[in-house]
Amino acid sequence: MDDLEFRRAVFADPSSKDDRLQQAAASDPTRQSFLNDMRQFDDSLSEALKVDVPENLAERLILRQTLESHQQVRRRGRVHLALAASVAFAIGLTSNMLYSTDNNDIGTYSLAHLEHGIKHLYSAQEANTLTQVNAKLARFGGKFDPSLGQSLGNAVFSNYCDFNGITSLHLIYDSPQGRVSVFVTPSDANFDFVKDFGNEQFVGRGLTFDKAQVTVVGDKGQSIDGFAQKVEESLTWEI
Amino acid sequence: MVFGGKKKDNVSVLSDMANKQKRYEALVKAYHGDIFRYAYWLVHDHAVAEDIVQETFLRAWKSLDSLKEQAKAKSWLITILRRENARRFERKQFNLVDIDDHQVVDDHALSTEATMEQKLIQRQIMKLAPEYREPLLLQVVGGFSGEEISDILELNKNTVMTRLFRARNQLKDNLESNDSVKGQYNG
Repeated sequence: MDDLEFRRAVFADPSSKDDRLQQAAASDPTRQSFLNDMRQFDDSLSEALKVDVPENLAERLILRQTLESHQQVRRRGRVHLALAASVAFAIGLTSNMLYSTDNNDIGTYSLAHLEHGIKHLYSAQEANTLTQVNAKLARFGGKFDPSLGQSLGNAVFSNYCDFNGITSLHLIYDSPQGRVSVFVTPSDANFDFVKDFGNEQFVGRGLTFDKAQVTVVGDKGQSIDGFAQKVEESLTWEI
Repeated sequence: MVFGGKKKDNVSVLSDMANKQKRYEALVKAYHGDIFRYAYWLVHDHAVAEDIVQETFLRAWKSLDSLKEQAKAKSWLITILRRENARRFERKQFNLVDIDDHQVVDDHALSTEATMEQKLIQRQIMKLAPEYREPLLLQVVGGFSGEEISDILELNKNTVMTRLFRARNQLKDNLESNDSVKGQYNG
């Protein structure tokens, strides 16, 4: 192995276990020290490349997949639902009640989303600043006003989620009245708008804007009016 | 009888699902860190990197059955990630205004953790042309061998080794020429 070949091999892979390279280094102190230098250089490279991984990334990846596969099951389940519906029709039940799980309104999706993610979400403890939240909101053409938005506090959870195949944003805040979820869905997704919705666990409010539909959801019994109003006032949209 | 058979099928489908779920969670836990770091240095933006990582793992979940050899899981994920990153350019571009906002956050996060030297190295790594940066990242962040890198990038091994050589060569050159003006980097 000549000098040039040696240097090229070391530059290409300083931690190589190649025998020829090892021998070439062992037989010549200058080469050995060159190899040591390059290994040190590589250590500092790998140190410099060690950026922090976002908090709870693994949990969020698992959560997102759980929600996704839940939706797949639902899609498959629709055939059965159709069968059930026609039977129900035959015996003269009102089909409204049976179809209620298949509503295309924004409230139903918000509630379904919360129900299936609930275990993960209660433990969320991130501190997403307004800037970080706004970076995610940018995708929808919106942002929280820098001063008005401060009154919402830090988001303890912020992640894109999936509303029937439409990428939406899920934010969670600690409000004085308890945890509140905010969902942002692009308005071109054409979900039906509902102003008030809820079930035995949650209560929600829909807000509609040109570019997006937003829902604010809290626990049943919790007053969400104040928080919903703050959200409505502080959201601004690109023209 | 018909019902009996059906029930059995359902049970095995469910246990397949449970197995798949376990495999997926193991995959996430073992590799999300490396995959995120790789994505970050590919795009140099936390939010975008996280977005790509999310898409990558979602796609990995959907095609988990095609991963036959566990030993190749990491390079399989990297291949998906590179495809997702390429797809990003085909899709409608993200709003660029707020990416600026975000880099302010990144710099802040790094300044508390990284030393001056590390910041210089990071800056020089981002200055490398992508065709040099990528094999270097695969080697240093991913821990892949020359053969594995040539598989992932679909290049022959000699080309990969030449690019790795040039990447380090350029980095060293640039860092050394930077040393002389280091004093100017006070802010």
